[in-house]
Amino acid sequence: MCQILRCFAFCVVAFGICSAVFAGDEDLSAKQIEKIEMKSLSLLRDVMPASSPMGFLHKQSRPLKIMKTPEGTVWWGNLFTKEEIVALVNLAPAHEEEPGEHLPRYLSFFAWQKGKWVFRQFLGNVYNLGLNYRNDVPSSFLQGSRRIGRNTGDHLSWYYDVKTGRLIRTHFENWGPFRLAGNYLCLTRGFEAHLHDATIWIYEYKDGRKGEFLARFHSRDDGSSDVVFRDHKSHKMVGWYFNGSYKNGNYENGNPISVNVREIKDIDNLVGAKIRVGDDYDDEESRQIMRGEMVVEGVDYAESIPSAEFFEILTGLNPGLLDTEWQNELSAPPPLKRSNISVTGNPEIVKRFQWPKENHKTP
Amino acid sequence: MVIGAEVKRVPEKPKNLELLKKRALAAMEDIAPNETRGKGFAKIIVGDDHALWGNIFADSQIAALVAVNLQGHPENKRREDENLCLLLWSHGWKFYQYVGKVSPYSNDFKETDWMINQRESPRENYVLSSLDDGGENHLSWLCDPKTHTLIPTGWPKDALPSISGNTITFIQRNKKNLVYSIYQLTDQPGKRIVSFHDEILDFDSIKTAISIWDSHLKKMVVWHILSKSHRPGSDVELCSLCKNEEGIDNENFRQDAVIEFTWRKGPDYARAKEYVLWQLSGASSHAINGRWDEEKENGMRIPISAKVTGLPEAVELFTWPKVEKKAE
Repeated sequence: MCQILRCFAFCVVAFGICSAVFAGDEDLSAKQIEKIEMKSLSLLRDVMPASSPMGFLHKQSRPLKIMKTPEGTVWWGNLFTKEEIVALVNLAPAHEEEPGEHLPRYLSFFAWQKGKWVFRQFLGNVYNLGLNYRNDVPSSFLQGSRRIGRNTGDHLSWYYDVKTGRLIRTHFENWGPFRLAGNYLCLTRGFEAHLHDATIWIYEYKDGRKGEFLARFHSRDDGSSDVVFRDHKSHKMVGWYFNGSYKNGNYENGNPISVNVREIKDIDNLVGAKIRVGDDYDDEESRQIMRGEMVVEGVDYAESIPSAEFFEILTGLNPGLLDTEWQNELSAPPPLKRSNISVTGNPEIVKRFQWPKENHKTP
Repeated sequence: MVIGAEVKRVPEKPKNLELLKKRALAAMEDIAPNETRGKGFAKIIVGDDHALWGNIFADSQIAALVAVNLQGHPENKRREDENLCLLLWSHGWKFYQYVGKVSPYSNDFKETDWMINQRESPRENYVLSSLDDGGENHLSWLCDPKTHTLIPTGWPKDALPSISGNTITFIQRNKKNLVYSIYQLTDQPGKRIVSFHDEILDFDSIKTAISIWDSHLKKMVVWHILSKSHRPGSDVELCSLCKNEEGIDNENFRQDAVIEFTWRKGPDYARAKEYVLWQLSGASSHAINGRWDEEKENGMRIPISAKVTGLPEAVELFTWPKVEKKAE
């Protein structure tokens, strides 16, 4: 009997280590991971969750608690379920980093069981952690990132699987962080060099799954922007590029903005891969289908052109998707208050931006 | 500035002491120290409250300082000062002392407006805070290992203190400048060794005035040092010196001596000033820069050579390497 139990215990440990190796993407041996586990446990040695917490003093029954020490950081509490106390332990780098050096900071996941911490999962080299919660399932998301060079690194994320009690990789991100807003998944830029360009890729999202690509919004430091989406009439992927006269990123009132509409043939260049900033406008793989010019009236010098408004007009999506917050539900957009835009050029472009429109409905 | 003359204030008992006690204990309820933490402290963040725990008294007693924030972190509102409480560990956490008000942390808990600073020898810890009134109200407590309480130091409230070796530096803002005053330190700040301040003349020209006791003249004197030619990255630097009795105006700089430095490669900011201060007072780089023992620094930047012409006293004081006097 004792032997069977020992064998069972060995299988559990072996399963833990094997899945740990697959969960982390470093070439770490089981022994190395065991060492990391031991180090993480020594960080947890002083954390003994009280049996009857004084949680009444806080909003939650057992709030998230954080302990930062020179050896690393511990997050603990009822992080994922009300029933279970768990801890995430992020070890500090092995030594102080020199400028430009990016040493690994290993993350491990533990559960509080029968008065002691039990190793559950090795999550690899990841830091800058963030926890986000939603009302649907899966409800808990852990995000983090790891920089491995000046402009390189990646972002990782997991959701908590209540059945197995484990953190499962979402694989939502290709290289940057993401957020969920209502039934949409919004990916943003990662560690690449174009710090001042903001890009958001929007996908459908349901029950923990990434759905169809819906749109990409891209704004550049010089004030120009573009919106790429599937046209509801032609069902083709199109890109609307807005390029005007800007000063310090602000639209100069009265100056025309050129509008260039292109049919995007190679959608793979837009989703997943890194954006080729600056190339979009003259992309040989996209065919120009329309041209036009517009003037946005009543915009003060200090204001930038209403890019979010363009995004909404073209895609019919809620401009709240361009915000930076996680949102359980997307509240209805505020009543449309359109800028006064005068457009010349292709009739289709003129039509899109002509106001007032009767009974405006999202496409 | 009169050192040690400040009244050691005992904080008024707060009205909501019971709530503060509960909150402080709740912040530490999951922490059961197994062993001493050594030199480092662990930071705890629980909701709006945060704590530092470890060997706060530099002995074997484990203690926690918990800053209770009763107001929360309201956006766009001035944040109220937090309430600092001391807990001691002895088979459980026990509330031991209400210390007083300290500045609040920033919303993301990254900026620390109260902290524990360490003196290396003798080993002593101090808690420093600046109250949220423009940063001019500096508070400091000694973590007293005899009583295991925090005792107000009585140091001037209008100066930021730092201890390095047997000196204490106070940085005080007067109308125009930051004035650094370095004192000898035993139990309390004693004799002033030197004080100095910088005057920015134009974009890259700084004049430093150093006040020090002249044992030959038996008077306070002021040495002025002015960087004459120094290009960033260059290893050669020319400085002018002028010596006056204290109180004599030196608006039109009179050049009494010139030092030509040759430096090793490295950070070049204020190195000539540091060297002159070191030669005049013997103060360490930490003391001159207002840093605590534990803070990392490159140390005193000593030139390869310092050639001095002009005032014989300046030649004797500042020439480097020092020329040993031959025995007659």
